[in-house]
Amino acid sequence: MKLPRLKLAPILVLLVLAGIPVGILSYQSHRTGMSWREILRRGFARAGGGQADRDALPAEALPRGEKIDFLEPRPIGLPFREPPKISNLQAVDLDQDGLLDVVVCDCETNRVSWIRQYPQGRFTEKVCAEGLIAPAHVQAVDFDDDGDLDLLVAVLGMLFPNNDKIGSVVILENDGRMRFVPHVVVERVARVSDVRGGDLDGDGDMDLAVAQFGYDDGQTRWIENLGGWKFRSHILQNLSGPIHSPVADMDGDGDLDIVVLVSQEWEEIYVFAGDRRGRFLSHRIYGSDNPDFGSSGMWLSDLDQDGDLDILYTNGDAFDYLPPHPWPWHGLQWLENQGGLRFRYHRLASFGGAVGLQPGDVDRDGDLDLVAVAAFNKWETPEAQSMIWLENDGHMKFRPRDITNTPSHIQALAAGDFNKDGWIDFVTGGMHVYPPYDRVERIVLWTNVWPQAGASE
Amino acid sequence: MKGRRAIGRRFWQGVALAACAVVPALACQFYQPRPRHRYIHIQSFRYGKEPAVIRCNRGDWLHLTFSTRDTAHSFFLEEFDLDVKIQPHAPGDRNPVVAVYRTSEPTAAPRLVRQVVLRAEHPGWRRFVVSKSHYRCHIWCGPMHAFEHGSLIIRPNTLLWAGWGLVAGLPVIGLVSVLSNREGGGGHVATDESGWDVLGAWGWLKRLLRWRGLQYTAIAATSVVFYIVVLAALFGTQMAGRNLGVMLTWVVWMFLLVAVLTPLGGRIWCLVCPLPGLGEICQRGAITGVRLGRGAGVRNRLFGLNWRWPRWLDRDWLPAAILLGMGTFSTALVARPLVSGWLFVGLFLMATVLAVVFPLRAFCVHLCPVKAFVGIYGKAARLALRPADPAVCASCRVRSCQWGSGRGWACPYGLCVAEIRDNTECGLCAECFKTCPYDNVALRWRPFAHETTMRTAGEAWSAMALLVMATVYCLVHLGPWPRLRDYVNILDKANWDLFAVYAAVVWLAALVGLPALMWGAAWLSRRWGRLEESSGQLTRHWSAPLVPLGLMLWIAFVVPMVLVNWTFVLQSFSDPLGWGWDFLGTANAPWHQIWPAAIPWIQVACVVVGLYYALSNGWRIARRLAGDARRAVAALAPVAGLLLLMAAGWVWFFAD
Repeated sequence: MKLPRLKLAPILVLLVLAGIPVGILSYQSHRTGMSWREILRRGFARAGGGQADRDALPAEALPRGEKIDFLEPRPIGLPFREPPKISNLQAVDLDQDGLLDVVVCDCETNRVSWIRQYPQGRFTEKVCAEGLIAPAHVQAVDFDDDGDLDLLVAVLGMLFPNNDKIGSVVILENDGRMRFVPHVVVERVARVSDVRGGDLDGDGDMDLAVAQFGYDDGQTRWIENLGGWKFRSHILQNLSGPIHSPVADMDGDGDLDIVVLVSQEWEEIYVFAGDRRGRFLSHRIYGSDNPDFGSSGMWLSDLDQDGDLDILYTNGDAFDYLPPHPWPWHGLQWLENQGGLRFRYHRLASFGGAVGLQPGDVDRDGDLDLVAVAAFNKWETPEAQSMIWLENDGHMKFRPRDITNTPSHIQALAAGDFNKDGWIDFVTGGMHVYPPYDRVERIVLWTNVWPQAGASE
Repeated sequence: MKGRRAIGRRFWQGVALAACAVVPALACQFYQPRPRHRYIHIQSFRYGKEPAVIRCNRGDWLHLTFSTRDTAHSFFLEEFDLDVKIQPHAPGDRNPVVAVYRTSEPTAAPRLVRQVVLRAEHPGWRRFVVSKSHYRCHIWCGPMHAFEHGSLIIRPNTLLWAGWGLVAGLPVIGLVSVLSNREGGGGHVATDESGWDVLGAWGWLKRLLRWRGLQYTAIAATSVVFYIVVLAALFGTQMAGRNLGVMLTWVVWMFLLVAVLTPLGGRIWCLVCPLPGLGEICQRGAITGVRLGRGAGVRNRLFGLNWRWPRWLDRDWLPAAILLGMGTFSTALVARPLVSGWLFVGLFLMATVLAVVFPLRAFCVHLCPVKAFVGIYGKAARLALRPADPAVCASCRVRSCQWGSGRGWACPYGLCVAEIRDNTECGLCAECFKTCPYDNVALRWRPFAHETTMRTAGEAWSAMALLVMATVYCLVHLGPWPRLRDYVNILDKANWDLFAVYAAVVWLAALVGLPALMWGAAWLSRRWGRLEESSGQLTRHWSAPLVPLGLMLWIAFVVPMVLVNWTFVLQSFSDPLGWGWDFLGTANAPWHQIWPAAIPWIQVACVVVGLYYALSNGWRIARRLAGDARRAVAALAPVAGLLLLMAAGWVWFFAD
């Protein structure tokens, strides 16, 4: 059929006008698993500068948490001279002697260290590996299946943003005598912010899920364990700013999925649903319209104790603008797993500069409470807290309670029963990269003294 | 015999000019103090380094320590294979540990040190010629990150002395040349027949220009690119260096427009410009077809209201004023893709709406800011559209080129080929090749900077405003002074008070400062050369030499934009929206500049070439105005002095 010339041109124009965006949308949808609507919503929010979440309560107008004292602080680990830069902690019985230890990522000394508790109540810090520039995350796991715990270390290469390919993934293999042999799994890649272990391809050995924050060239990948310390990388996504990449069965199909929190301008959470054969399908399960939302961390926990894993999520990264300071929309939230990779967003509380959130039945009333820490609160005002407790009333309503404002700049938080008294304790690490420097601590053990404190109202 | 003598004279002029560069360049090599150790603390901050300029002698040992006032920065000095990453540290720590990377191998493990020791000397022959390097920041630290840099000057500064030697030598050699020439030389005026007849040699090009589909095929292609640019700017990443909209427009397109298209083709960009396309199609009701009709003073039928353009808006200077207004906000345009995107949309809508309200290309003729640039600097272009035979045009009564015919549309710019004397107004749309019944339209390939006329005071002011803009852009964006950048930072620092001062200074310099200087020079010229024309008229004449000088200064400005940022262009091509795509495998390519050591040489060469053409054109104007060679020299002297001062200043700016 021959079209009239005059009519052909408008059709061609329309085809181009519509074809280019349709092509863009299709390609992006195919890559990310986002629906066209989600892509458009995000795109228009950016184009209009719209920031839907900015209607959150301003920090000053927040209901103030009532002060509660049930945690007794005690510095542990090595002394320090320079302001400490602890990026991550894990409470784990690394030597499997029945006492919880602490594994530490120290970006000031560029070390991964182990604070051993032995005998009970006595803590001694020992260096596991040096020269790992800006270690961002450590996970203790028996990677080589030899019965002892190895350490998976995500190495940024530089603490502050940088586009260079300077990141690496290092496994510190435990030789069984608590000496660690480093194996570089991948190096010269965009800055690595997280690495987690799990059998992602169903072949019986442990693979790795890796978040590479980069700067504006980040990636998410999984690394296939080929055996004999040989590995093969598979890129899942090229977005900048992945912070955390925990591995768990999120859709209840029996295989492991990778959950990725992508910060920077995206502020999204993806689930890469695995099929047990090393293939992953991307699903975007949350996205903020506010490009300055400041995603800062994500943890998995069955918060509502309904048998599936929910997502705990903080937004308090304040480096979008300098000097860093809290924003009204900073805070804590959880995404309720409703099955079928559908998640429902619940705002828990506003908390300026929030970077850490851990669940635990702190008051032993049978439900999970939450403890949160902040690295970028309004430190010039004494009311600004660095650590708060969110008390669960049993109906998933959380009441914030002030714990402390000292030390300031708490970046890392881990929970565990260190003194084996049945009450959850906490350990925190300080990231003091910005003033003020008047309340500086490196690592603090917070012992739960609830019974002695008589804290229950 | 006469030709051989001219060649001989040219040869000796060339030798003398080379001597002007080589002698001071060699002489300065003898001034080289013994190398010594210098201890320099470099503080980085948004957006600059302190010291902004490091001066040292060749062979000195530089002991560099670093700190930062705010966020993380880097000290990226590619010529010395050095990229020092500086992280925030405790305020009392004056000498924090830094990570030292090699730019040649950016993924290699860094050295962690408190001090970097650098030998201020380039290897091999380059030690004698490379005197200036730029240290930049390679950690994105905010929207104006790209402008954070400082200068390392290694003395003896061969380039500076060679450049100044050339600036001083050019007028002296020119003066000797004209005074030793019995006829005085120069004074010829560009005529319509000047230059090589391109279409006479290339018949295929003539056939192409007569093809009705030419312009809209080209516009269709650029429109697709324009559409992608707008989408990328509006919906893509707001990190300018990763956004195709910004990189394609403000790096690639701007470089091509300034350094290639305009000097060679004049307003040839207008042939393919996507902005007026849709409006013109609506106005004509056709893409390639032609309609006869009446209205709007042409012989074609034009749809729309066809109102007359308001007389009070019919001003030569208006596009330049719009360009100046946009240019005042240039930092926001470059650093915020969203602002660029909405600007493109606004310009497109304006061009389309105006085409429906007014006849022909009202937007292009009266408002387009790009026209302000290509119109003025198109005067220097090598390509020109002119009558093939002016006599044929003189006898033509139908003026189909201007009013249209059944073969083609009326000139969208309202021009009659017979009356085209310069490149300012003609948009090279090629419509006249189709309409002319006598096949009397030619494309001429002329010497560079051939035109020496300024038709109106508005044009003269535009030339001055464009020169001021180029100077300001160079100072603010290429200069090492961070305080100056604070004056334009309305982005993250929101320095609106400083910005108001900046805007006032720029506008005053463009509206009053340079015109006043030019008027002063014209006044002296009138007195010394005993010229009859008024100082105002002479100001208009003497602004013509600013065209080649200004164009070359603009080229000096855009050259580093593309050479320094080429990696980011490749990155944005591979991931146009910054959405994590990687079509070409270059989305994560490490940053490497193209030939950074050569950039100051290219810039100084631009200034010297611009000065040569400015003086050359100045002499031709002087001869035209004064007649007698000695009076012409006297008339030119004050203007030449001003040009020399400006050129010497720019040579200093680019070389030191």
